[in-house]
Parts: sequence; C-alpha cells; structure tokens
Amino acid sequence: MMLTTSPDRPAGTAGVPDLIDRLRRSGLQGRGGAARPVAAELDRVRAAGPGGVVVVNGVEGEPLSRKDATLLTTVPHLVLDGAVAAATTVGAPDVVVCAAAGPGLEAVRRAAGERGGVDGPVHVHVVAAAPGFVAGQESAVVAHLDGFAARPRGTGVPLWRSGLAGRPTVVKNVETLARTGLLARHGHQPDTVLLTLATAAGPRVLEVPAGSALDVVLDREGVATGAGVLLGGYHGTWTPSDVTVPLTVDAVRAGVVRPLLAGECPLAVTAVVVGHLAAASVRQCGPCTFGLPRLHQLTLALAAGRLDADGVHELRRTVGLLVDRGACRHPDASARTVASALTAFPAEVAAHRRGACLAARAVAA
Amino acid sequence: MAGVSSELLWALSRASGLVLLPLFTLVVVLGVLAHGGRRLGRSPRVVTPLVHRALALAALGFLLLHVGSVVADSFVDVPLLAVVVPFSAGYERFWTGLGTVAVLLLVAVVATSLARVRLGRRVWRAVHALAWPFLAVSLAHALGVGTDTRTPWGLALATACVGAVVAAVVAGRRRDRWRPADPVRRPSVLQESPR
Repeated sequence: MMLTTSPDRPAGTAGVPDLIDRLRRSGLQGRGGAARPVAAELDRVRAAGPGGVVVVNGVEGEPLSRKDATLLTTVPHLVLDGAVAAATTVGAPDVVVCAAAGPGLEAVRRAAGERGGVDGPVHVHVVAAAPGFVAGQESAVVAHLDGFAARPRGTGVPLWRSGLAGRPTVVKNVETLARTGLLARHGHQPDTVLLTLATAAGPRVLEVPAGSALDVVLDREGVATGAGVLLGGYHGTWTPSDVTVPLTVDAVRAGVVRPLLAGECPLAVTAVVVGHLAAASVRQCGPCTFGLPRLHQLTLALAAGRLDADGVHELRRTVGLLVDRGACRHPDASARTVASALTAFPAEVAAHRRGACLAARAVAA
Repeated sequence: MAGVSSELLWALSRASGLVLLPLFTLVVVLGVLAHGGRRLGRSPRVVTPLVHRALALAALGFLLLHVGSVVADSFVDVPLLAVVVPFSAGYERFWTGLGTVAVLLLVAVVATSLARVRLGRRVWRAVHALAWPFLAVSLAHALGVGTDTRTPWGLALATACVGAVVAAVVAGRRRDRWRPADPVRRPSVLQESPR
C-alpha cells in the first residue's frame, strides 16, 4: 500500500509555493465522497483572504469506512503535512483536525505534539468529533468545532466565505490531505483509490490502482459476491454483479465497497441501510424528519414482499420527493441509494412485488 | 310603505344586529388566534385564518342586511347619508352615529385587507388594528341603540362576547417561535487562538 507505507516523519511542508499548481496538475479530487477538485477549492479560500482555517475531516461517519482512521493511525504526519501545506498556501494560521474518537484520534494527537516546529506559523489543533453519520458533513463539522450541535447548516453562505469562527474555511477529508501531503513532499501522488472492503470478516482497507476492474479486485481479495455491490457506502450506488465497473474516484466516492454475500437480498440490505440513514438524521428539515422514515417503511415493505404495484409507485414517488429540499444532501443521497437499488435490480423488485425473492431462491437451488 | 313591510324591516334590522354582535366577536377571536398561530382543534394552522376570513365575509353580508333594512325602514329616521356621515340620523342620533363610525372603521379594515398584497405587512397590520376600536364602538352602538340588548339575555350575550374576546387575548397570544433544540454552545475551538 503506497499511501500507508510512506515513512512518517514531519517533513516541513509549510513552504511549498506551487502547491495549487501541483494539485491542479495531479487532478486531485476530494476523497470524502463529493469528489470535488481540490485545487479550485483551495484557490477560492486563498482568494477569500488571509486568516482562514484548514479543517481535516476525519469524522468518517460512514459506518463501513475505515480508511481515514487507518491513515490517521499509520501516517498521521503525512496528513498533517498535507494540511499544513494547504494552510500555508491559502494563508491560514490554523489547522484543525476533527477525528472520530479512537486510535486514529490518539495517533494524530500524539503526532501533533511531535511536529517540533516544522510548521512555521501554522498552529495545529486536534478535536474529537461528534458521533453520527451526518456529523461528518462539512458544515456539521464546522458547527461542531464552533461549539454548536453537529448539524449541517442550511444558509446559502459557503464555508469558504464564512466558516469556522466566521473565517474562510476549507474542510478536506483525511485521505485528500494525505495525498496533498505527498504532493507537497514529492510533487506527485499515486494514481490509486483507497477502498474499505466490507467483508464477512469485517472491514478491510486496501489501495488499488485507479480504474481497476471491480470484479478483478474482488476476485483477488477472495471475496465471492452475490447479486451485486454497493459502491461508495450508505450514500452510494448499487451495481449488479454482471456489470464491470472501473474503480475511479467518481465511482467509489468515499471508497466503501460492500459486496452482497451469496443469497443476500439487495433490497433487504437497502432497507437496513435506509433504516440506518433515517436514524442518522438530525431532524432539522422536513425531508429527513418525515421523508426518510417513510422511505424506510416503504423499502422495508418492499424487502418483505409486502408492496404491490401501487406501493412501488409510491416508493418511487417518495424517492423523487426527497431531492433538493434539505439543508444538506442527506435526504437526496439516501433517496439515490434506494433509486439505484430499484434501477440495478429490476428483476428482484418484480419478484418482491409477487412476494418472492430471487436471491433466496438462488441459494435454495 | 305599508305597516306590515315596515314591521318586517324593523324585525330584520334588530335580528341582523343581534347576529352581528356574536359574529363579529367570533371574527375578532379568530383573528387573535390566527395571529397567535393557534390551531382550531386538530386542523392545520392555515385553517384558522381561512375561517377568520370566511366568517368576516359572512358578517359583511349580515351588515349589509342590517344597514339596508334600517335605511329602508321609513318608521325610523335614518337617511342613506347617515350610513357614511356620523351623527346625521334623526333617530337616536348619538347611538346610531356610533354605528356609522363602526361602518367607516370596518371599511378601512376591509379595504386594506383586500389590498394587503400591495400595501405590505406593516401598513396592513397598523390599519387592521382598527378592528379593536371597531368592536368597541359596535358594542357601544349595540348597547345604546339596541331594542333587545337591554333585556337580561341581551346583556348576557354582550357579556359573553366581551368575555370571549378577553379570553382569546389572554390565551391566544403569540407563543415563542419554534427554534431548533439545544442552543447550548461550547466555546469554539479557535476562540483563544491568535488570528
């Protein structure tokens, strides 16, 4: 694994003058799920003026993801190097690491104490994250660091204009900043994706070349797949097993790969996922408070074979109703997960409408 | 005009007046509740202002009947002019005049409500507050001129109306706006750091 086997010592990346150029040339995209180009974002914060903040997002609220905790545990200095390099580039005097409680947080806290003055004027803070799925959304992270409840904010003011303590803020994922650290140290970063493979034995973090075929990777890891794979985690996309997907950043998003086991029903897994997403809502907007429980109820009914044609129609209608209404994208993305299940497994949906389940039948046969 | 017809008109004006008192009271009560964001039973919040408006329209119909029958009645001297010029009627000059004042106040309230979209909220709110003097003057008019309001049941009706308005004002005041829970704030991470 290239990312996690780099030697981990503070490298003094506070004075890399052309970091944004390096980011632009490497085409680095955010690895927290949104996959936005990093160079453009740093550019905006730099243009917003000095006194900004770089927030390292290690909340990793995605239940199946382990890559950020792994990076913080194994290469905390690389992550901090990337964050400090980004901070000096945008003229920010502060780096705030917000990580989920655990070994990752301990490791980065220890590392922050070992920097030994290589960071110039940049001050590194380390803070424990609030628990929960939605707490990892960037404006929720900023709200938490600002001392408020960790809720996504609904104002139209972007974080790069007014974020933490009202200062221009850029929130980047741990892996994104580790790659930024490699760019600052060496001028290049590996063209790979970091995956968390959810296996029966637990999550396994692996790094594969970007564009690797999903089925090849799963074969090599010795994971037998059932009907399909959920790519990108709970806010991800279902892919049927017979489709070969190249594992690019745009495809894997936050990097979670959840294959179905043999005999596991994709609709049942979707129902469990939606149940988790509905429970994860902070209940500040209508689509989350009312829409997600309804979505869960309908998906559960579909998985149990208790939904007729009208019910499936109602499910599709509910999916459409959730889009573009909340303060954050939690309802949109949750609806998309369900929509992708309906698209990827049409035969399974048709079978469930008749009260049958193809996955269960395949195992029995 | 024939005596029977005049008798009918007189009965009409008295009856419509008796209906108007509780009806306008109810409209004001609903207005207070609507302003306080109160629900009627388990109905959605928007229903309160809708009922307020519908009953106000109904009351305007009764008012037309009330004023029209008094003017048409040749037995009492209330000329058409007295509908718009206060204290110009021959019959019970002062108490009838209060009725005219009430009509004028109501015209202002209704006209601004119809033009509410154009006026903006502040102007409309200010003029709409004239509903209070309107109700007070109407009540005085009813007690002063009313043939029936001085009977025990008429006084009881008037008392009940006043009581209802007072109760609505006390119970239906605007409650605090909804706020997200947990406004408790810890200090920000960056509070003590140098800028």
